[in-house]
Amino acid sequence: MTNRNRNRNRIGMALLAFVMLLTACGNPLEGGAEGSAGGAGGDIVIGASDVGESLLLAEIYAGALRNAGADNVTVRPPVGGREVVVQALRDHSLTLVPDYSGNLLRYFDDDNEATTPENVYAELRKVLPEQFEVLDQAPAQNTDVLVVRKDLAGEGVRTISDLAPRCDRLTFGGPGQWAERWKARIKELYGCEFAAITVTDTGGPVTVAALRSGEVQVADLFSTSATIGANGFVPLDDDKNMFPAQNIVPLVAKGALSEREAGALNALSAVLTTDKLTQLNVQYSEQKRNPLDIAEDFLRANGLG
Amino acid sequence: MSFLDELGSFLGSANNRSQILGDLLEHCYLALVPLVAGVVIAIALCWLGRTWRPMRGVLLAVANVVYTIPSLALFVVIPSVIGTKILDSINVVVALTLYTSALLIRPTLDALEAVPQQVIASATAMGYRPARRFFAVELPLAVPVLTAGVRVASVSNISLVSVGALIGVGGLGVLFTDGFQREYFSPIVVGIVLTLVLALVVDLLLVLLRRILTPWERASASARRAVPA
Amino acid sequence: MGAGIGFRSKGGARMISEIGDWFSDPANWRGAGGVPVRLIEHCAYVGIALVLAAIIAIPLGLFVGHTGRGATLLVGSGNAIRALPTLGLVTFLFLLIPKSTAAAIIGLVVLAIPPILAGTYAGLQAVDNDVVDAAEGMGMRGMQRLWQVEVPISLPLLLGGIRNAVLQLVATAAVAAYVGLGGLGRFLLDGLAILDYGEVAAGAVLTTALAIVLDVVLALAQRLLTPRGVRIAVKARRPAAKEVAA
Repeated sequence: MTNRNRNRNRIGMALLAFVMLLTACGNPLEGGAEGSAGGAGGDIVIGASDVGESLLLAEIYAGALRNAGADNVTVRPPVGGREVVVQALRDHSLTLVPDYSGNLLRYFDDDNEATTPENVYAELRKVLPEQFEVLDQAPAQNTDVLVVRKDLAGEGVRTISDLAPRCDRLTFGGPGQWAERWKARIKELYGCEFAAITVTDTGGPVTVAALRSGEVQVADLFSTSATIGANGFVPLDDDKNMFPAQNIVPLVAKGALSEREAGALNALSAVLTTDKLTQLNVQYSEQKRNPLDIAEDFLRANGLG
Repeated sequence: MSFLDELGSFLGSANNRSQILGDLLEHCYLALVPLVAGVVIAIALCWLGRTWRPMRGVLLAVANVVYTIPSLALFVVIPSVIGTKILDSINVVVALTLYTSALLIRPTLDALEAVPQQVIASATAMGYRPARRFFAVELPLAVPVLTAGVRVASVSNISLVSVGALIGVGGLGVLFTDGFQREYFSPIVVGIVLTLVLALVVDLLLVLLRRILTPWERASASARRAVPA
Repeated sequence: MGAGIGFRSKGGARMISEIGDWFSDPANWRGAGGVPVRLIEHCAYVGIALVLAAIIAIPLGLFVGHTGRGATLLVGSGNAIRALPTLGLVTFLFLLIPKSTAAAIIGLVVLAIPPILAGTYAGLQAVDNDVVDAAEGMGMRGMQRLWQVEVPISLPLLLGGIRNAVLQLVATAAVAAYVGLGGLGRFLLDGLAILDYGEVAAGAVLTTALAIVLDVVLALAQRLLTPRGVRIAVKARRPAAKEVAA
């Protein structure tokens, strides 16, 4: 063989080896839910927003569906806020997501005044666009909650009304959209105007750290979050019902689930209480268990697995 | 729980382990496809750059600009430019391909221009036409410098794929976001270690590849050794 | 994974109009979350990290380059740090030090050290032995040689290292917004969380513009600070094939 043929062979072999290496890594771009997920009996893709609990719920839904006989159920990793997942449901990249009744209602009907669980759910069913449907809601709720440290609570601050007169001396920390959404309302309802509103994150570690260190004195967290108990924070009672009910409810692309599958999810929702949900969060964020493990145990413990 | 205990229980869950493996494989894919694509594109562009003189300057300028674009910015802008949805993993692949190509343009041009004129002359004299000459003579001689560039690009790609987790693309970056959200060290440490190991392995493979592709370097080295210095 | 989820890509014109809308909204220019403040924050993080990294990396690079000791260790650890994933590093640091700015700056400094180190070291390596010999012959001692001959000659490569570091810093500071850091990354991540395309694109444009501006400024500085003699010598040397240190 001449030298140049040998070279060509070498390059060829090297390229072949490399390509084989690549295919060994697998192509994550194929075999996914291209476009249409759902339709009874089809692939079920469950989405989760970036709130940790959302992923837990998604895994529990997935487990329940698999136990009900659905065979191609996947859970996508958390990718963003509600806007992202709703869009995905619309274009069928996702089949269903666990969501919160109050937030969902507000997303589709900004001005709706309903606050109790029953009213919120009823209104939600009315305003939900054609492409979506909601299954039964769970008794469990996870609402926004304003929390303070023990020291401030010790001064007699137990409700938001108690907080109101002190607001102008306090710094608040919460998600980027909090100010836009609640600043006017909290002033209108409680007469509370914070000295400063800082963007930390959506009930995550930055918010917790900021409250712990005193960088902010009031924070927006979520009521089932394990970090409240773990850090000894005190949740303030929303005595004038500013925050609407937030029952856990599956939001589904219409017609994507069979009756049996929907039934399985309804059975699951029926047993999901706020306490149980908080416990799940404790396992997830305090005990650091794997969400699949948590889901499996939960389903088994509640006779659904 | 001490850190080691925590790490033990993290790795002890079978579900965790299989997720880590999946993330690793996907990371591998997302980093290496752009590497290969980038090399091919850089070589093609440099060949063009040498054929048409004015293109050379343009090429270097564009490569410079592309390389300057910050990673997260590129990841989020590409979908609008190429028409994909924003959270699609192809965005990361395209972005890293652009970076790799941009990174490799300069070394490739330099390497190709460094091929001694005599070698090109003798190749032409032997009857090689330009295209054949390019693949059989100039490119192989450029391999050492190219490999050096590819090694830098591979480390960079492997590190950047993790940033994709911020736009919902898989890979080891998911371990970092998970660990951060739950104040959990173990996934982060595992993620960092695996990234470093992956970078090392790929680097070694590239060195090996270079050895395979440049047999004359070994030949001349052993020839030099045979003759007392 | 399949086809991802998220908002569909917009046509080019619509994209530009959304960015235009965002930039022309005065609310985006005011206050703690406005463009000027975020821009200044970003520059501050980059600047502080650069200075700190330079303080560590330049002396180290000069020492190793001048004395030739510890070169392999240097190159090796430089490469290892380059392979550290940005996101992993900042999240790790945040868990250790739950203050966004402190954790992020430490991460930025760590990641900026390898390019500056490499630039300093390469710069000294580029000094011809003949020149060093000539300097010795002229009677210059170690420190004199270093500062009057070796450093000026190595300036272009050193500045090249700083250029690389600055690019790395601008990009990494944007990523560090994930652990709560301010700066231009906030537009990228906060906009992404609510699919506000205008904000996301604006963040991308601003970050890129900053990177380009800083790069151009440093490139100019590189040109201006290169001693004339070095410029001539480098031009003369270019045609020779030089292998990049692998």
